[in-house]
Amino acid sequence: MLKFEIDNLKEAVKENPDALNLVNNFANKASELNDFIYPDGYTGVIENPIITFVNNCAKLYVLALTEQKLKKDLKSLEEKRNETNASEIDKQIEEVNTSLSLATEGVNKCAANINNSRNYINKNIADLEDEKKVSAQNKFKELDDMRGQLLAHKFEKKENEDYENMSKEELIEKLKEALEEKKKQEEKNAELEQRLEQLEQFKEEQAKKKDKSILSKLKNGFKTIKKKVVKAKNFVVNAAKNHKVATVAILTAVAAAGIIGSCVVYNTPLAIPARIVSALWQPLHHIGLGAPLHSINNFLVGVLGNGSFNNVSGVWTIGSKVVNNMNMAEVILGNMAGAGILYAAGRGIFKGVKKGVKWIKGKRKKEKEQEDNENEYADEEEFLRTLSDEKLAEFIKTLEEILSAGKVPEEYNQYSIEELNDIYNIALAEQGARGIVDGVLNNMTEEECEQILKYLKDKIETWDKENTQSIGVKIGGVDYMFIEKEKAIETYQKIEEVYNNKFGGRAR
Amino acid sequence: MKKGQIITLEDNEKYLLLMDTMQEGHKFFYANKLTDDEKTTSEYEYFEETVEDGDTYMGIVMDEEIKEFLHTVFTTDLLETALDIESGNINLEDDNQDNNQD
Repeated sequence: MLKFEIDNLKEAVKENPDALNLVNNFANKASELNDFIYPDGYTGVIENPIITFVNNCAKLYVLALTEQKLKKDLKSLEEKRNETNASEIDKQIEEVNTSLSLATEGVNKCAANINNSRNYINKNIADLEDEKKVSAQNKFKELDDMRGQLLAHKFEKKENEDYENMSKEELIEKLKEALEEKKKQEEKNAELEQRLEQLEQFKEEQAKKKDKSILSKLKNGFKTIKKKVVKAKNFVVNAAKNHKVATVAILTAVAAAGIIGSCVVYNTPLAIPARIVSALWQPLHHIGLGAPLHSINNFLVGVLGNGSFNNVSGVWTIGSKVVNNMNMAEVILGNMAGAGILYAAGRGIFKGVKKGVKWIKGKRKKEKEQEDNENEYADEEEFLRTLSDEKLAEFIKTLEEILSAGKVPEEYNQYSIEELNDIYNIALAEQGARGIVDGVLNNMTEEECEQILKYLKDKIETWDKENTQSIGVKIGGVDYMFIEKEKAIETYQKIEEVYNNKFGGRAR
Repeated sequence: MKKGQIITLEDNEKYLLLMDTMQEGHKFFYANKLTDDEKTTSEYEYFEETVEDGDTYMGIVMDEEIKEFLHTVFTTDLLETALDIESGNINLEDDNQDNNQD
């Protein structure tokens, strides 16, 4: 039997035996439907939609009852308004109106949740085998009809003592609590729904890959090397058993360690095994079985360029950036191109996206060689870090001239033009990480200040909303790339200061 | 066979069955090769299970297309597992959970 949160509803209709009976029948019918649709237990990603459906129905009725009571209060107060102290009554009317709008909002949210869960239930029913589908549809229709009957019953009862006796303050408090709880639940649901969508998307992609060629092979046969199984036994890890960690955790971690290598070969998202690391890090490390997770991390860190992983905190650092938000890491790791971007972003190279992707592809073939390349610019990076801001800007300008001419001058003849381009990108990243140089600011014209301020303002304001990873901007003839919002804000403030001081801070 | 089992093949190679899937009537496994003393290795195989005259056989899948397809299936399953762990549908402290997932 499922457990539902319908005690408040039972309390609300306790004076009406028919309605109370209906509430109990409603819950029983929902449990019956649950057992029918999910005979082996519900294993979905979001909360069981049947539970959500019943709980929201219950909440909706309680809130609707409150709403009804408040409307009645409001009417009564408006009638009194002409008879007594108008200002005192106005205050009360305002309070009731506030409560009423909270109640109405709650009712609407519950109704929306009921619709969502109804859609999920219908979707799960549609996935059933044909012979069960019709029965499940009928059972759900009965449940939905009972919801309507319940509503009718509730409103037949004219008064509800509990709510009648509640003060407005108590009602408001109750409503606020209910809404707060609803809000939390909605946020959780929204996050899970987003992930569910992601899963659905992968399933669709998977279905697409099951094309005619695969189906034909599955039907007509495919090449295997057959070997007889001479012995089989259950996998038992004493450490896991002693610490009561599910075997599934170990199997999943070992599987993820293998899958991640194939992700590069088959061009599928690295974020999925990465997520397993995040989910299993604590329990498996606790019992000393983190080896497969370490192998995943070592792999990712290799793929991500100059990334590193803190074994204690489970936090990734990529370049100078701490990627402690799994969602952010996922966005970046979502696909191979994303991995390339992360490689580029890790080095602070905005223009290096293509290079990053190319690097990833090259890694498949020549991993060892690639490791060597990883350290290829270590000396140059160190050299760039030692330069003053002015010298760095000068060096970048020189490199721009070389790249623009497309010819390597004699003093740089130990490098190819491609290598100089790499160094140029590394230098830009170094400059972006330091922030804007005063010399550059002084060279800016009024018009340029205005344009850049407008551009930066827009980008900063939408940074979070658009999940911005980096922005590139030319300031005083110098390319900058910001991979941190704070740096962009700091630069904006510096330019604004120059603008105000130098040009009188006219309205933009 | 079911996931969570260690199988020994006729050539004495041992594998740990990690994940399984049914596709068009074929049962496939993703498996990790084990050392003689049953330690995990970095070698993985996709197997097709068949039963003939009461004997079970594991066929190492050699077809690249089928392997790529199985990779997408198991990767998707992995994501589903990650979501289940995150949403609390898989209780990592319950060792019977594995059986429930079968």
